[in-house]
Amino acid sequence: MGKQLGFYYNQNYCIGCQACETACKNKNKLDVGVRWRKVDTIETTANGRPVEKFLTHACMHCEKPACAEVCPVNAYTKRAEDGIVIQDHDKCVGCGYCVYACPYQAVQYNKREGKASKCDMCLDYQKQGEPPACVRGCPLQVLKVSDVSDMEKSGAVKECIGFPVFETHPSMRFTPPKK
Amino acid sequence: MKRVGKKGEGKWEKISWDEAYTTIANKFQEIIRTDGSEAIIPYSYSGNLGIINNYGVPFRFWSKLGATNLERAVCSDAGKPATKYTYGQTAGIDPESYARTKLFVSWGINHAATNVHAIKFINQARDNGAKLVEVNPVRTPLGSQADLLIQPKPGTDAALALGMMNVIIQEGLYDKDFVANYTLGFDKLVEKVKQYPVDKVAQITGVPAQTIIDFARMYATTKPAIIRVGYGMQRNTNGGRMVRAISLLPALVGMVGVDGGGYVYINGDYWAFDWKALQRPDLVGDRKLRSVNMNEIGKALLGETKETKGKPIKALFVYNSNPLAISTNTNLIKKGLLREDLFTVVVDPFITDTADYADILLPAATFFEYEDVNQDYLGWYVRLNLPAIPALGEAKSNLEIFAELAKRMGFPEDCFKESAADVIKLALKSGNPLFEGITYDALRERHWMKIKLGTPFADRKFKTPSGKVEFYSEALGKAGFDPVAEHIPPGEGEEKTPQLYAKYPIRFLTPATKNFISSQFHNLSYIKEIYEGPIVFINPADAKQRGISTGQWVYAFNDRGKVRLQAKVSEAVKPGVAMSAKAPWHKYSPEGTNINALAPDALGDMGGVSTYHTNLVQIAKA
Repeated sequence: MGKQLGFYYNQNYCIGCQACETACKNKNKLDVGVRWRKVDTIETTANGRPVEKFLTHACMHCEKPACAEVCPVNAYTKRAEDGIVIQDHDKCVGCGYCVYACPYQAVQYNKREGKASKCDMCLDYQKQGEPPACVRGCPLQVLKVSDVSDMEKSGAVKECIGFPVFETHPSMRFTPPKK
Repeated sequence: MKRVGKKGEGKWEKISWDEAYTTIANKFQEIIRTDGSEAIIPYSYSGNLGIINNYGVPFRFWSKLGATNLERAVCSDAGKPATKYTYGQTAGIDPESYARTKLFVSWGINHAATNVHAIKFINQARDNGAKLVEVNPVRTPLGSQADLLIQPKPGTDAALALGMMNVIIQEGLYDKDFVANYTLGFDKLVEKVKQYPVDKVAQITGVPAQTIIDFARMYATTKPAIIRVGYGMQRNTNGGRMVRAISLLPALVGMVGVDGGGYVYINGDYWAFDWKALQRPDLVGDRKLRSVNMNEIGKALLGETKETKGKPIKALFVYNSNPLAISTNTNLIKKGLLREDLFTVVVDPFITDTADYADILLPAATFFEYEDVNQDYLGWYVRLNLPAIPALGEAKSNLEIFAELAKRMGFPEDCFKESAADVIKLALKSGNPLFEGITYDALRERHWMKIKLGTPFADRKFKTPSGKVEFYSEALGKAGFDPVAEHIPPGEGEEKTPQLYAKYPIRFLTPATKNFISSQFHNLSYIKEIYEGPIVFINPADAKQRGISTGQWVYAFNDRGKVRLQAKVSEAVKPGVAMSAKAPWHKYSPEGTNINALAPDALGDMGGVSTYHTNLVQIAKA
């Protein structure tokens, strides 16, 4: 497998501040209601007591992206060089198939515009050697972008609390849970 | 803009700055003639934290005018003297030193909402094996992550600290060398903690006895250890006493003057500006001006405080704040703002709840639009704030507004003509060694500079009367407190007000949320999008008793007011405690009322601090 960029997330230290989400909205000038990135709050138990965990999630830049599979106008491309899934927004006809197909609710429908859109991992920033807005916005540095195989070599895992692994093979990886 | 509708309606007509200034100056002069200058009162707090625009030039104007002095005691004012009784100063350690600790205790603060930028240092320490303890009646995000979470009943932290000291002394885990050489009154502390055996403390705090023992041992034996005390906890009728008791712990275990260890509350003492030059208190002259505590602004507007009875406030000038949303007992404030004979000016970038009652509303520039200098509550940096953009529309900075008003009032002093750079240069020239090398020119070049200071108290010298850390403080005793430390029950509660407690058995906490800074930003569309709404966290036991489930609308109410909230049944709070974050705007809240309608306007035990968290309510299905 070639290079596949993905988000790397340390759930152990995330405090759910939503700075990643807000940085994404500001940078991409998204309409209210269009949330390319979202932070979920999960009530669960750990070490025998009730706790709160958070999960930040955006497009998973899947190995087998469902959005690309269902799109009738081939608006989606999985880039060979880095695995980022991008959308040609001009091609989008707003049918909404991708919105329903994506198991991660990463594709967002904009009613005003009548089109769908999603995270492109701030490709423009990355071309300038900068990390995406969400990564830059995280005050605790719990979110990063890296090559999936590199992440796995350094011990990253595929699961974390509140994260379902679907057959689209998401490219997000996680710090192992802290004891 | 000038008001054209009724007060509170928020109907405006655009006028020129010239007309606005003239209207305000004429009205002020008329009031001074008929009622005296003290009939005018400013109201401001932390809408911006500029040394010029918040802490500086407005004070010059009010001093010269002879306005009623506003006691700005909403925030941290009990913990400041409480800490000072112990160490001779309030300021403590550098937050960057958190990274070198082995035990971090987050006590009475939600770092995830109010001190996010310090967490990366805590996490560096955790990466190196440090333990994290949270003490908080509400489980915060760090509380979820903590190695040990302690949830005392609100307002019982002094008992918890005294119980811990009981264990530490009894088990001989204290630092004998430090205690013998650098503290005063250890014998008195030994006697005092005998009144706080663990079983009794467990009963007072609701924390299991074994947990108290475990925490005490962990704190005494894990070195270096840091305690960070927050401001939320001390917004209680017994808040000063709680901070005082906690502040003794580091001295008992020798965690004073040690890198990676210590205590921190607020580092305002390191703001080494030339305050006299900045604020010009000399402009008051011989006049003795009356004071109004900002936490009683509602009462004051209605002439119900001692100082305002029969001597009504005739003009209110609000800047850097939105009192109707953020202050206490807001139904009373609303009544005051509705007074037809009150002339109200509001300066704000946005049309806030308070702005709706203004006779004159002036567009304020934001800190993105003017030059200023800042220092942190905790961090050891002085920072130059340069405008990122020119002021939008017709917005102006406080510096410009007060300069122009001074001109219209005929104030001849040159200090009203100074530019931002003039004021900064003046403020930095305090001669305090903390600011060595920090000049305007150096800041222009580097933008941020660290104050000159090593590990606080490394020399074991303290500015207390005895020169030692004072376990026993005569000054504290003279101020009417137990000279060592004590727990007293909260002013509203089962013990002090049993009848009130019978009606309102839920202790209602209203801490900060990650989404706002106090009330700021609720009007932004991106914030509205992520703000969860007026959620009230309620324990499953209390919810079951009331037939309440998550997502249901409920009312929280007491004699001061009633507010509609959406329930979230959660273990984040213990039985008998509910929590709803501050401070959404009234106008964006269901039925036009936010949680501060319920908040008491009683004052705390030290510094006239607010007591938002000594607040009993009942909760019922809507």
